[in-house]
Amino acid sequence: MVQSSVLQDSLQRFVSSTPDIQGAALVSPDGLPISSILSSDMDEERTAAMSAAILSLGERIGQELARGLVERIFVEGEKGYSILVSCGTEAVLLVLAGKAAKQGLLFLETKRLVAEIKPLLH
Amino acid sequence: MEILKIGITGTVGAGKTTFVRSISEIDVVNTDRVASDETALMKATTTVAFDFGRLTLNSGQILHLYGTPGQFRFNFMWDILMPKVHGYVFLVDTSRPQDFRASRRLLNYMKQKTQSPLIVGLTHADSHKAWKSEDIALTLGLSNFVTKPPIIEVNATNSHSVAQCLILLVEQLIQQGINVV
Amino acid sequence: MTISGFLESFSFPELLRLIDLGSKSGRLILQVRSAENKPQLMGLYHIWFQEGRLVTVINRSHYQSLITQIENRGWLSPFVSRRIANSRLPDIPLGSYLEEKKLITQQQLNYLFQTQIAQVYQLFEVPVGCFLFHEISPQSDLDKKKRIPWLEMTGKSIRAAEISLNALRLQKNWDILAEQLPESSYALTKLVKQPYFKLIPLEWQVWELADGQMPLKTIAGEINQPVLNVQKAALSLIMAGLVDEMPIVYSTSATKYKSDRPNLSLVHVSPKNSTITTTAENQPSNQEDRLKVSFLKTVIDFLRSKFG
Repeated sequence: MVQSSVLQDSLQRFVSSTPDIQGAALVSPDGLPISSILSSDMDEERTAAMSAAILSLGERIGQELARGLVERIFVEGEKGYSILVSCGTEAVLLVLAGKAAKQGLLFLETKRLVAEIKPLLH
Repeated sequence: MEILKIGITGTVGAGKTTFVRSISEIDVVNTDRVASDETALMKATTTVAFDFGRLTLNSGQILHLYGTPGQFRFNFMWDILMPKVHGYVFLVDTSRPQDFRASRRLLNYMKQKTQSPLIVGLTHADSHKAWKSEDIALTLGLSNFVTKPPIIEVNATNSHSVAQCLILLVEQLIQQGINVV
Repeated sequence: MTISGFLESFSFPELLRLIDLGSKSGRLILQVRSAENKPQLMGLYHIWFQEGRLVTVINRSHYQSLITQIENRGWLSPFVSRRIANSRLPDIPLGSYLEEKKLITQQQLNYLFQTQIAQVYQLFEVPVGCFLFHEISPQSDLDKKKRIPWLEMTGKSIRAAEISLNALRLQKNWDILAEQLPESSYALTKLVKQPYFKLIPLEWQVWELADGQMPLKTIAGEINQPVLNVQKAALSLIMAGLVDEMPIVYSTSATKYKSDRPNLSLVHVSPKNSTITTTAENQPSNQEDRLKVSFLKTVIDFLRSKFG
């Protein structure tokens, strides 16, 4: 596994350079935090566990209800979005964005970040 | 439709997933992921959301089994599942005294989340390292319950043994009259 | 009946808590295998309990009989001590026997007993070792009871839980005990109505605020104490069997479960053992989710016939 500071840098760049992105976290598939940029009132450990749980359930739906491979899980709230994407077998990425964010751009930027991070994880 | 909802809980490695698998008529909807924390020393995978099992009695009566994750970081799943169950089985691996204090903590947590009846299922009771049930009862503080939960040895890999355990729990529901009309 | 294990997995204070709660009698054999900071503690100890109370400690590695200890202090003449050692004494503690014969004073016995338990206090700093507890149940045969080391007993005793309370207060080195501390986000629930041990002021303050909801870090703020001190006091109260630890969910702005936060005002007092139990007030299931007894009986029949 790569030095966590490299991952932290990638997340930091992503959060500060993309408009309306409010946070990002990289967690292991069994729900442990790897690296994160989250506001201080969010607990990293809980966030990690919840991300792993919902991604596993989403993937289960994809499989059992014949939706195929799950590309992302998208939670739309009145105050903003949460996006979960799988980063290969090693990690899950959570992205938090404000309501003003453009969905298309958000998905695109998230995809770009996954492409950047994925090779670092092997 | 009548549905009896039973929770299966306990600390990591107590045998929750195995328990649900042993008796469910459907392929258990499980959400196992490769363990990367200290859990990995005990087993390869760990439940991250819940295990779901089912037993159909007839067209109008069903039994649902919900196995919870064991690590404290998944307490939000406990919060979601436990208030909805009519009763629960609390599994304890009798051969792992290092987990007894965590079991006690978890039990204290569950006690605040739900008043539903519970029984304590002791796994690995045939191990030479296994502790006796009265000592586990003391260590877990079971006498601090309004109704001291019954304790039963259970082989989580054996459907007969798992069924015995569930029967004892259902008897408790009838006896205590909680969640029962 | 035996309980065995390693101190690494089941700590010494936990063990004492178990013996106390179960009012157990018997011999605890403790083999200390490594004690980097205190090599003098390495060795074999026999600690005897009667109904949850410690009655004597025998250091098998540096053995010196109680009568020799008394003699060495000049409290008995060698002549008398030899006579006693060679005579057949009744099945009562040596200390009580000598006191009855006016050969030793209460004060001297207290001193000897304190010396014995001082060794036990030191064992709280031992990280690596194994234990074996041979329980002697009240129904045990006489043969087993005969092995009670009357000659090593002063006649004094102390509750196992009180040993933890004392030892943890005296503790200077917390390296080993640190992982036993309850987390600062945990709350404490009372297990008894009134503490049956004399508490020091800090413990008393923590006890008073143990309401099943307030995290230790908040308690620390309330009483203006460092969190670590409050965690230490909490551990003492837990091991003394007065309170228990209660994990509290870390609540963030994003995760507030207002609706299922239980109201903990309900306290059930069970008259039998006068312990109190706090339970959640929230009903687990609403009215329409209740089950008919006939359905439950069908479930039992189904499980019996299908898996019986």
